[in-house]
Amino acid sequence: MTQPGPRPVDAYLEELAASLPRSRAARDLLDEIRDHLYEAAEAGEVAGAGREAAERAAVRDLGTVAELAPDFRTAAMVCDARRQANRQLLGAPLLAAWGAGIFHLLPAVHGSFTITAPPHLVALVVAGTLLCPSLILLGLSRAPRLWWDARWLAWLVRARTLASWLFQLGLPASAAMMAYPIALLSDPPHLWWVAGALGGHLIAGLLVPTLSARHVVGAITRRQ
Amino acid sequence: MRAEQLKGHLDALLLAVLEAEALHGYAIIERLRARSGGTFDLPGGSVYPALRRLEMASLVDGVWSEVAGRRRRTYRLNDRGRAALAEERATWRGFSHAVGSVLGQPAS
Repeated sequence: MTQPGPRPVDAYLEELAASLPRSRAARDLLDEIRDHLYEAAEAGEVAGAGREAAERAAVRDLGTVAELAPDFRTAAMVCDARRQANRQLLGAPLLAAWGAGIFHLLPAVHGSFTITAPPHLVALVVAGTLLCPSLILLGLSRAPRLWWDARWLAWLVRARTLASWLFQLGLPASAAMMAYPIALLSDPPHLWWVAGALGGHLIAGLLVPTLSARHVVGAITRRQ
Repeated sequence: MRAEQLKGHLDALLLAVLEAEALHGYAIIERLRARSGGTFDLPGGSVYPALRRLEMASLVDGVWSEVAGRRRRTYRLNDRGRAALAEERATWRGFSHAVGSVLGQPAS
């Protein structure tokens, strides 16, 4: 006895998913297409077709995966890049709060305070690794040409990769530079330096993505 | 009419369909078909990337909800979208008037 094959809608979605990047934007697009196909199939059933035939008609009317995939890939890449830029830009205020805490609260508590990492050097690292790449990525993701010029899309992918690497390196580095003054006040001194770097890593890897994905970016996106 | 023939006008048509009320993708396609008297029978696949493009351009807002156990994205025209639609309408009126002036009357 042969097993029944997957339903036409499920088979189509599986094929489409295989042609898209594995990302949140792609998952969102697939969910939207799933809703479309089921809605179309239900309309077909109401019109008198059987479920299987209604699903086949819904899939046929949507277009083949080969026809859809290029535009869907572009949409997913642009959405992912915009989301990443928003998320990374959220790291800047967190870092500013961390810096303000160290440079303003610590002298008030300890009295004497030695700045070992000059603020302009910290600012340079922050601008070079966090702000500039994220702003460039955000600007690039808003360019209308992305939607029809493959070269621009290729640049967006490169910018996204670079911004991601710089963010993962720059946030811990700048957090550690800010934490270094505490190291000089403590014993053993290197402990605080390491704590700063680890804090930066946690912010970059856990806190920013969680906060931005669940609350902040959603709110910003809805307001735009 | 095929999607290629509508290229350049699809964004404006989608904005126009969303002018009266917020709609999800399937309803947008059905509304487009109904309002064009069946002329714009687009393959659904061409509409979703265009909706994302409009959203990225901050002309429409998309909101997720859950309907019958499925995630559904509903689109709503925002103020920037209304302004863009007004601009598209003005451009289209000028263009169609000019084309009509040339094509509308056979040369005497």
